[in-house]
Amino acid sequence: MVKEIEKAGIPAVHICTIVPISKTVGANRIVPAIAIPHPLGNPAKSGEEEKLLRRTLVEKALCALETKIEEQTVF
Amino acid sequence: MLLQKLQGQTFRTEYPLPVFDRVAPPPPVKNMSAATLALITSGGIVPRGNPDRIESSSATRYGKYDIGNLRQLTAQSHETAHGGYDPTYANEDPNRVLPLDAVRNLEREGRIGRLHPYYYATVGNGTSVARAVQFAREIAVDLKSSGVQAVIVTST
Repeated sequence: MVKEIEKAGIPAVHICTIVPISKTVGANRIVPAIAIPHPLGNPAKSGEEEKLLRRTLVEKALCALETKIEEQTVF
Repeated sequence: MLLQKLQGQTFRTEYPLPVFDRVAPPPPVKNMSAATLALITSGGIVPRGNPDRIESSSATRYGKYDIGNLRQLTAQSHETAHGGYDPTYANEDPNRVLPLDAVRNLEREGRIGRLHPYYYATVGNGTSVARAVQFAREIAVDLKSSGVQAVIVTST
């Protein structure tokens, strides 16, 4: 899906747990996530810590969208 | 093929692996603080009750859902339709899959210009590549016509 969005000329970043799949399929901007059932969270952490973790991942994704890349890049 | 292999003859695979095409990365977003960002997920996050009946595996459709007035997702408002992972954590807090709360905070702080008032969701669980391509092509047309300049796709 990420690739098709990029084909349309819109930069897209893939936040995903299984990075090798994302690489195989061909996403260009990849941000590794936490775990399959909670890619952007961690129920073992406190509410505030979890929110901070999620924010950090989203900020990393925004940085990826602002970065010029020539090939597949894992941020 | 097995016989050929056992006899040390040349063989050709009976199950070729798919070959995926590559897309040249588009230029980055120049000014994120003025850009419209959209969210897409293959993690199956849907409004409670799954109004479009998106299948829990081998999905044949995706949904487009209004989040224009939402600051975050809650266990009361949303759930996951994905049948390929333990839904406990996503149902407890759907922001763990579609990070609306964090994106809204960053929007308020001016880190992004604005969040597109709809998100798109499907279930990436044994879903064919052909379907995923079709969904994303349709979504891309919608995003283009809405002036979206950047996209975050989240996957479980």
